[in-house]
Amino acid sequence: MAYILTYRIRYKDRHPVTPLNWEVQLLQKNGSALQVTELYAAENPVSIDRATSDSNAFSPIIGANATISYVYDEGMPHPNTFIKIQEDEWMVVILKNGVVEFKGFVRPDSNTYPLLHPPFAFEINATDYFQVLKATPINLDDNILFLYDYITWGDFFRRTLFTALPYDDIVLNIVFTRRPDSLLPGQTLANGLYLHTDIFYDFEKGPVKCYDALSAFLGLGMRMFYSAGAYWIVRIEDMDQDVFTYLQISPSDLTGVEKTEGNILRQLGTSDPGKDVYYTGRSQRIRVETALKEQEFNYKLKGINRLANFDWRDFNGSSFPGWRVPNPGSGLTLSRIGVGTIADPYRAEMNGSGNPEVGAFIGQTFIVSPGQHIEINIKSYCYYTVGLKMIVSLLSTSSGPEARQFYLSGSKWEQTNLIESDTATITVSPNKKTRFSSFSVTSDPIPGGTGDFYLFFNILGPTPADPDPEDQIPSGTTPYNQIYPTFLRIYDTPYVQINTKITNDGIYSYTPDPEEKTFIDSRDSSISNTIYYKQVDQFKALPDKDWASIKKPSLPKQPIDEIMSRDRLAAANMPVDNLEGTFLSNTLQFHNVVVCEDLNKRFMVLRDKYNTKECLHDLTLVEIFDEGSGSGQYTVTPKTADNG
Amino acid sequence: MDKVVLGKDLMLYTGTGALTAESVICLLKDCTLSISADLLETTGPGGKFKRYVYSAIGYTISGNGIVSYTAINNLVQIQEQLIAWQKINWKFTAFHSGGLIYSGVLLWNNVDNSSMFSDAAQFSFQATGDGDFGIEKIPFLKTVYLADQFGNRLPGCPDVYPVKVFWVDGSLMGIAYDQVDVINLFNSYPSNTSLTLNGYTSGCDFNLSAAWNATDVPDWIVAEKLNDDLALSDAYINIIGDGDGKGLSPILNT
Repeated sequence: MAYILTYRIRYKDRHPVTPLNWEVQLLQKNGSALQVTELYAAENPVSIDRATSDSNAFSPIIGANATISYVYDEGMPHPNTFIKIQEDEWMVVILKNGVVEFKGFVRPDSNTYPLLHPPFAFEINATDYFQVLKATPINLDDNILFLYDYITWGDFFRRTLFTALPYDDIVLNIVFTRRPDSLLPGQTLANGLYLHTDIFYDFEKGPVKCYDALSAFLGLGMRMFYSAGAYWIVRIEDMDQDVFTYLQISPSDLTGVEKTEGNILRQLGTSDPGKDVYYTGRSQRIRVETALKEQEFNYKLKGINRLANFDWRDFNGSSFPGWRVPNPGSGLTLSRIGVGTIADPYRAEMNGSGNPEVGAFIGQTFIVSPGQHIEINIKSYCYYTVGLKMIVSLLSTSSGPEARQFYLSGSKWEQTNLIESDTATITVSPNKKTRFSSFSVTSDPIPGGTGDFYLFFNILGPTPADPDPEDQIPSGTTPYNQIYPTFLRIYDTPYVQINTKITNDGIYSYTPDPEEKTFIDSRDSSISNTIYYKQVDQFKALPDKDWASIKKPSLPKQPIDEIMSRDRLAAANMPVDNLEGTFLSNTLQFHNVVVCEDLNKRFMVLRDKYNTKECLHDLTLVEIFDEGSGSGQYTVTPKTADNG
Repeated sequence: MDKVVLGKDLMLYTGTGALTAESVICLLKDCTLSISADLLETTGPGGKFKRYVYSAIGYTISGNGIVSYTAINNLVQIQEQLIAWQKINWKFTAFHSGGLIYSGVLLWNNVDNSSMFSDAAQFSFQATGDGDFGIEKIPFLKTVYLADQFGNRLPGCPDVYPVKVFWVDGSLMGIAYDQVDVINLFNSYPSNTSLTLNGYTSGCDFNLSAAWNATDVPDWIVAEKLNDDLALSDAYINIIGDGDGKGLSPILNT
């Protein structure tokens, strides 16, 4: 789609020393304007607000909203032009001296205008592309089919940020000075480190939204925002530098190029001698936030699917390779439905008999060990059947009198001498309205005592539902179950969650609520919460204590979860100064570091409401501490389902 | 001596198009042009004295006068412009063209019409400037001619050369044998800091350019035909003798 420049507002700001030229461009989707119409700027033509919702320096994504104000008069577009529209009708580009300061779309909802004779000032609300991230799922397509595989960090950004923001000539600058020793020389973080797409896929809801996927990634201690014509991902504890060395990637370069930005610091002071940022109106004040005593992080472990052909993409006309073939003559027939996309995934349609006694089931077998546990996620469309039926059982690999059998009942393993379908079958009834049934279970640990077990995971054929006069099956159709992509995860440990904790050695008491986190150096290659590297042809979880510091080689090598936790401690290892007020500048960018000589401290920008005409910023600045500041204890506590 | 500008000489011109001599607001008694800047305090914690930077600049114009319904530009025009939401060009100057000219665009804030029982109807107005506040310093352009000290065109014009040419204070600048000599003598005379002859249109008529803030702008250039020396000797002595200004060419003030 083409966006055509239709309206424009131009003005010069009122900086007392170096006034800059501003231009607001309103571009209409598939617009037909032959020439650009200039709009009268209102008194405050553009205000740009960048803020997090929770005033937390570690909030991962900082979006921006712009308020554009013009004087509506004869010959000007009526306010409805920017209200009664779809959300992608008007693209907004705001340029400061030719450099993009803001990009986004007019947000048509909840706007007002005076019901009066013109002229009057009207405010257009615009929001940046980050809103699009909330509505766009991560792209997990692999040549149309569902991608369930390892992807590089660069590919991750292609499938999230670059997918959600297709209109833009986009670049992403990543400031992250930690690097695993396992990376080979010449490799970058973007092409040498991997994630598994499993972590971004919910078996019921499908791919997670780009916003959530990026938030999970940024939970490593980074934040993302748009500044000075580029998207930035900046690790909070890397803001202690005078110069940013960053990796710049783009849709056409997912490996990235290392670059340097030396124009980072902004001096805060008064107008004589002229600084980059002035105090104004005696508004500046210090708000001190308490130091952190303890912060807990919880990582809910998610294994990588062990089922072969779990998404039914391979089908030979009568059975699914990788799955047990139903007994001939059992009465169970199989077919494949769907086209394999995320929107219309392949399903295994099971028709006919569901009697396991005659082999009317499909399944896979694994070997598991005592202490391991399994997780199953399965979903089915049940067309006039009693629901989804399956049997999950264990059989000792050893033969003889010590051989034992168990079947899964709830999360428990029930021991039996003989697996009987009547007792061992798990039946998941469908929702009467939607006819969908779904089942998720995390088992207790595999029982110990006699060595390994065969794990049988069997999905039974359909059992017709009892006739219901109020819900009769249409004539000419037969009951069936359609099985969606199915997940069976085997965990090498009995743990379902890992809790970590950083505890400040200082005498403080502030202990915020635990936070849910995603990526941890589990050193367990079966876990999708993990960051991987490629060793020869194998993807492996990073070794322990692999992350070194490029910025300060003297810093100890640590796992990424410990680095993230210690970053949190460093940022609040003692009471933290927040500098607030209204400040004058037209060179301050959101990624800048503000240096205050009066306090001999440095600050990062947490919130910025920018009146562009008057060059006034309503700011909340947060004190920056050097990486490694403070001292504290880092503890890791694995949790089983019982003790969690 | 600096030139004193009297209030009666300063006039406000307003109108929706190009401003002409007829655009002056007639019978205006008082007029105030006020320009101001917002200041933004930038005081930090480092000192006890306040600091400021300039911010937005604005200006207002206000005035009052006698109502004259026969005047071309007066109360009624202002009222009609206000009702029609017209933006108004304005100019505030002692001279319609040349000299110091303030100008810009204004919007009428309010126009009062007060008609007292036994007095002339009066009006007053307030206006707010829109956009830039113009300050122009425009040279005066006029024609001057060779004349005696009383302004009488030199007998024999345009064929008068050679002539003695005098500065406005009566001092002799030199002898000119043609128009170019007059221009060179005039323009290079040390006492001349603000007047320039740019050319001539006849033997006796010249184009004069005076700086915007010139204190004395003559209507003619005092000259004396060489063969008239004896006849003019008294005046000559008077002009260059005591410097009391008698016999100098009059000064243009409008």
